Amino acid sequence: MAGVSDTELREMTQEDRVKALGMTTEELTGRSMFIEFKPEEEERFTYPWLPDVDFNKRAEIDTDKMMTTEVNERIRELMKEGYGTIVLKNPRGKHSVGVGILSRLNLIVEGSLGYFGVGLIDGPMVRIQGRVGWSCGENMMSGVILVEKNAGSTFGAAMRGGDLVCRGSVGSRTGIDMKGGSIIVGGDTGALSGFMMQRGRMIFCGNAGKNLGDSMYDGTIYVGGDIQSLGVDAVPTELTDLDRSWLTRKLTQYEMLPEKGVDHFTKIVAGKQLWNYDNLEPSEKKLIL
Amino acid sequence: MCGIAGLMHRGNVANVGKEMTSMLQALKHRGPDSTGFAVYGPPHPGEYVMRLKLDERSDDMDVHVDFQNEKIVEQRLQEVERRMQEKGVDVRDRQEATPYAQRFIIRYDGDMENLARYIEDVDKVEILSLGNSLELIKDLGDATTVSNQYDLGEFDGSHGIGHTRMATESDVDIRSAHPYWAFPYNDVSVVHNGQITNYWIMRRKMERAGHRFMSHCDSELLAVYTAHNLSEGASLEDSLRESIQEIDGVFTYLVATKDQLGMAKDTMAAKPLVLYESDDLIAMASEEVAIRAILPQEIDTYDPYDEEVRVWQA
Amino acid sequence: MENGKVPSKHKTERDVYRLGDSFIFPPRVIDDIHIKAELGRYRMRGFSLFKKIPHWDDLTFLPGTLTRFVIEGYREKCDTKTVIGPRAKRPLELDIPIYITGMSFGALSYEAKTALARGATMAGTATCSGEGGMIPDERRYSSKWFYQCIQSRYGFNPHHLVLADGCEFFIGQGCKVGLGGHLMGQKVTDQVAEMRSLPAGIDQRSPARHPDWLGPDDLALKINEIREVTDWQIPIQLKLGAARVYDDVRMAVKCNPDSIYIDGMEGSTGAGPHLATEDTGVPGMAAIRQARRAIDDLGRRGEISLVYAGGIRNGADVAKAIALGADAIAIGHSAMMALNCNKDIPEADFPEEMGVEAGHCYHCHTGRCPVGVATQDPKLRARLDPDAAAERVYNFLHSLTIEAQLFARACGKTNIHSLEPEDLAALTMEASAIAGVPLAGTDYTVGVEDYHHL
Repeated sequence: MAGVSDTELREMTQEDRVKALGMTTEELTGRSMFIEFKPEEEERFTYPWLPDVDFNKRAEIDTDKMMTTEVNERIRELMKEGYGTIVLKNPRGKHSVGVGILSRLNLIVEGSLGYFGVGLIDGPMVRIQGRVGWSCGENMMSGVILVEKNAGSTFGAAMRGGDLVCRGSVGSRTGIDMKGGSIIVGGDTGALSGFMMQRGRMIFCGNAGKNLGDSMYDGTIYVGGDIQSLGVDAVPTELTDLDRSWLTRKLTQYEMLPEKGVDHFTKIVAGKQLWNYDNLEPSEKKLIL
Repeated sequence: MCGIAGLMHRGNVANVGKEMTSMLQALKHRGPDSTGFAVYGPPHPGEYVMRLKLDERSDDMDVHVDFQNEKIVEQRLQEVERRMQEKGVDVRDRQEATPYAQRFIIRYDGDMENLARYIEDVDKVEILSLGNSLELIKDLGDATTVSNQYDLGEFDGSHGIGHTRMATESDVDIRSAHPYWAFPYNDVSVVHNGQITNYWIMRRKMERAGHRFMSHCDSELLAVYTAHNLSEGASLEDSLRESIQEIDGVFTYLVATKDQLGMAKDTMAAKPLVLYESDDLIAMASEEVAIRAILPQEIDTYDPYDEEVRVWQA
Repeated sequence: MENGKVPSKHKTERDVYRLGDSFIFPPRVIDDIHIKAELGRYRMRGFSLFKKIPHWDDLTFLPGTLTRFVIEGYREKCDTKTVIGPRAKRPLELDIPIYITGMSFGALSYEAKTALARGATMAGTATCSGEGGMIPDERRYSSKWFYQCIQSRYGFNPHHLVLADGCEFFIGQGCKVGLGGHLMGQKVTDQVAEMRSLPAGIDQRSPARHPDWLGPDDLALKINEIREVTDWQIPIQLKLGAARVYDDVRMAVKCNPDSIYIDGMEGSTGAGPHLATEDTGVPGMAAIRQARRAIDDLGRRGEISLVYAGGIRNGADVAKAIALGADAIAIGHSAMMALNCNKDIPEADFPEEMGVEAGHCYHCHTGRCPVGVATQDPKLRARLDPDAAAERVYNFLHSLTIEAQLFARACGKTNIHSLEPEDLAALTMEASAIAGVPLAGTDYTVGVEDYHHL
């Protein structure tokens, strides 16, 4: 009972006394009532920064000598000042650059990014003139990312919306756990692309590696070239007119429409056999061995 | 887990020591525990470079200082020199980067494997590398620290591989640091990123075939495995291809020989590698940032796919 | 002896032809084989561990008597304030060392999730979103809230991430180490399915690996990505299932999080293969000691917090876990029991609805929870009064704390975090060996020379 005298204790309210004695630190009032927002807590429930920007205000950042954190902080500062077009120079393969941008922005990267490039974004338009490392556009909610050169593995992992475009080839596990949006790749993709894909669409103009669309729940994969092998529960199906018009529109939009059109694309969808594994027929159970 | 890097200048010699140092320094965040280099200089005609270590260092060692140790290490060095003399080895030069890390230039016409085993028979002595042009350096600390300690900044050569390590299931010590020399193969070294999940099965197989293991690091298996295949007459490319079928787990690894640089990626493609290829330069690393450390200009790089095997000739 | 006949003797009722009971194939094992021969797959279930393992009950406290100055048991100050991730710009400060771990909306009902949040807030502690994304009301009622970044990334939203007080990377769970989560089709209602971007009614088996990083080297980068998104404000926690604990935690420390959460094999699940929950992982006693040693060996004590969860039932378990080296304790299943799990409430008819008596129910995976906790069925959900449930959660958390304080005070501590392994003794050889504390009445610790410096 250090620090509190008897007299002080006697004068306290029941609640304060209990607290002073170290028995509890909780609020005793309103225990079974709704806990309303306290105004002083308001900042906890608002975004730290969500500025509105003007696309005509342009700024450049030379990131050569900067740490990733400094680059991201600078981007936020500029956005707060209303800059809507930001150019990053000399990114030299830095990781986690431009992540977590949750409002509109025109971001131009003059060079290559490392891991998790512009991941966890909602809204911005990003143009990357070089290459990106693993997990570019990871968990993006909306917006457009356009990569001019190649991309690493797990391109658009767990992506939920927007367009993620790569003009070159991408690594393995493209669109793994994908939950929406579109991934458009001009070149080839590696193994296990579309693994456990849930929703959304993927277009590969080139070839696809083995186990394409393995264990996919739903969604659609279009492949222009050869498919090394299909994964468990991924099945080819007929291209419909709707598919053709969507493919043409998307590929035209990003200037990637092949000369021979889109009729040669193979369409892969979920076989839906794994949806309720418990209800499989005995002959189908070996599917997952 | 780790960061790996490899570099090859085709048809010419450059400051590989400095380039590898900057590449690995850029990968520091992937593995802060130890750093290692295997760099290949111009061949020493008729001579061998032997690098060996006389003592172990580990991350928990500075807790208790062993005053006896200095003397013991000195005694071991004398014993190694005595055994060389006994075998009739002509020691042309000896340099010392640290009391426990020695570099010998020797001339010897006898059976190299036999000599190596005889020297390693001395307690705690491990030959890190042996060859005409291979220099294998590894120690605790980041790339710059190790490079400075061993004066690597001035090293000229044609190619090299390197590694920064984050210890998984083995200890933080020099013994478990990469690269590994493919004992007893002259000039063959291996770096690896990943983990091997049938390690003990494969290790027991290799041990029965008469190979020696110095650590519990799964990457050493790849060096031994490569040496085993080469001794059976396989080419480097065959060995790399076979490893993808025989070794379980996830891995990307690089192998360097006197005039070759090879890479292999497992079927799961779970360990990264970025590749840059031009007529006079091959550069590869776990991350683009390492390649950018030596090639600031705009270049095209790509990720090799699963089960991909490549071998480049110097 | 009339006619030389022996009078008939009372025969034993024992069946002399019976050889005895098989230890290898007792009736429950035989039933299990019969059931699997029908099913053609592993059996799913909820709940915690069924088999016997060395457990918290095998440890006892050594309070002060004459050698130590004891602190007055029920009144004198014994600090319970707990900080998770002290290095973060905005560390998670809890009033009590216990918080409520991540249980998904989907596995649990809306009422259960919000009741847990409100109960925890009243107790001045945190809750965690669990898999499947944030339900806004849970965030509203939680004063301190972990957002879980789980392998499947169901419902993961950067807008919600920036609202969190901490971000937890789910890497494994104690009850089924190395496996992904499960949510059976019965619970994947339209709302749950929409949050997870899945078709409704499917059996959801989540991935066991994160999609965007595949090794600890990548994880170090991923942690930095989340830090960049959250402006380096909030602590990042890694949740690991207890298996190769020493190596795993060393690895985790090198990835530089703010906190490491170890889930012992006693941990529970809402749905999982029965055998996976029985036969994976190591007990909490072993895990905490190894994890603590790993963090200390790398010199990061005080920088990286250690959270333990799994099989915590009462204040003694809490105090023992803290004594072995945990900084904070997370509870899941016992908090659900505070909500009403396995309680024979008037509205529920356990034998009729579940086929078992209350107290034996492990059918969370069916989504037919008779007390409205682990279900999405509106009729069943109505059986849980969130107001009363929140108060019970608060009461339970408070009881756990004062019970834990009771042991701390008895051992002479004015701060609950001053508990140390030396305050414990083991009652069995097994407990002594795996928890690294001496056998009661001896100074012998099985397999350990110096238990002060493991």
